[in-house]
Amino acid sequence: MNEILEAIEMGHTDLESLKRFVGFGTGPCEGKQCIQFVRELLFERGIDPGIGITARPPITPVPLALMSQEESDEEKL
Amino acid sequence: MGDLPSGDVKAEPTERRRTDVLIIGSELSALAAAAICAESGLRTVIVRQKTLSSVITAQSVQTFDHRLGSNPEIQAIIDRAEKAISRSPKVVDLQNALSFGAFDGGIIGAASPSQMHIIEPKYVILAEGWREQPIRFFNWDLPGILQESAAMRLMHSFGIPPGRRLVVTGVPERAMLLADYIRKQDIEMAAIVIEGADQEAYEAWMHDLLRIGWRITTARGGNAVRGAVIVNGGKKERITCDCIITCGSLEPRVELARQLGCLMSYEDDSSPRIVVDERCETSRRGIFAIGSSAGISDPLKAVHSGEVVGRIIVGRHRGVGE
Repeated sequence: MNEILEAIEMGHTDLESLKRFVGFGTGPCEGKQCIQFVRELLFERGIDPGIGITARPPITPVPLALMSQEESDEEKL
Repeated sequence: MGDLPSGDVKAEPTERRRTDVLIIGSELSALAAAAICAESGLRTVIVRQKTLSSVITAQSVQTFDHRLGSNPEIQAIIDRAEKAISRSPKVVDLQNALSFGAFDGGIIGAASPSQMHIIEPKYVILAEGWREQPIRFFNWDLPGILQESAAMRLMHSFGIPPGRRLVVTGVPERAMLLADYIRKQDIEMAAIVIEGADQEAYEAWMHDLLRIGWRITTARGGNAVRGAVIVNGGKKERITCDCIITCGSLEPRVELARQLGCLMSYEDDSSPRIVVDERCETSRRGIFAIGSSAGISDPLKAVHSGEVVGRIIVGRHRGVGE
């Protein structure tokens, strides 16, 4: 949390910038729990958090073994 | 508790499927919508993480009423949905599956334990429900600190007490219901730590346990919870316990909606919500959000939202209007 507060003081006042600087939202929870916490920190300081981090799949971890069963483009041809 | 799962994943070939309706979630609203679609003969795929037998518990946690399991009206809804889903040959019920993303062309990916599913739906119903947020304090990730849904799963689904001496904290209404449930399991409670109204508003048996206006600042312990430190202004108290159950705020699951390009709104408390109209349709035509995903927490109203959306989709599919 101290790292996030320091980053805010340095001028990283939107979620995307904070994520890139601090690294939150890139761990196992994929931001599901920590993003809201950081939004609240910004909001409490009168800062508009912005629309949030770009939502990219996968939302939940998927075993590579399942992904490996998908046909490759070469196989489709 | 059983063996640890092995690291092997026996993967089956990816399944590709086109469908009329894709319903994501296991809430009562999802079941209500599924029943309408199934009874109308629509090709329906349901992606959900829980079996029907545990949906009551899930919905109970999400709507704060642990008495839902004995509600005959709710049970009738579940029974009807179960029959409709099992009887219709056009329904594919992916239990123990999660949707993991939306891709170009409105394609949605889902993963069950042994298979990936690529689904191309005409209509999508989002009923993914809430996600509990943790309550943060020093050492909030120690073993022995559980969120409400996890504690309820242990107690309600498996009959396992989460600890010997519990502290409950968080949103007052849910903390009270949870404390009452714990009392009926004959598990010792050490304290109920909440912000809230006058102590007289709560049942008499809670009075000695209540710490109104206090909050947990520290969980004590090295490898596991051994106690909690609570504060109220300048006052501090140490409580001995081996389990802390947190009833944190509930936030709707919106990740898939965002990936599908649905419009979001951001309330004063800064949490995002899926924007829906009076028909529970999002800004993307053909994509609906019902139940908790649409901010509807009352179970019967959530069921109603599922039924309404089911009928809208059936009408559109048949070209007869809404």
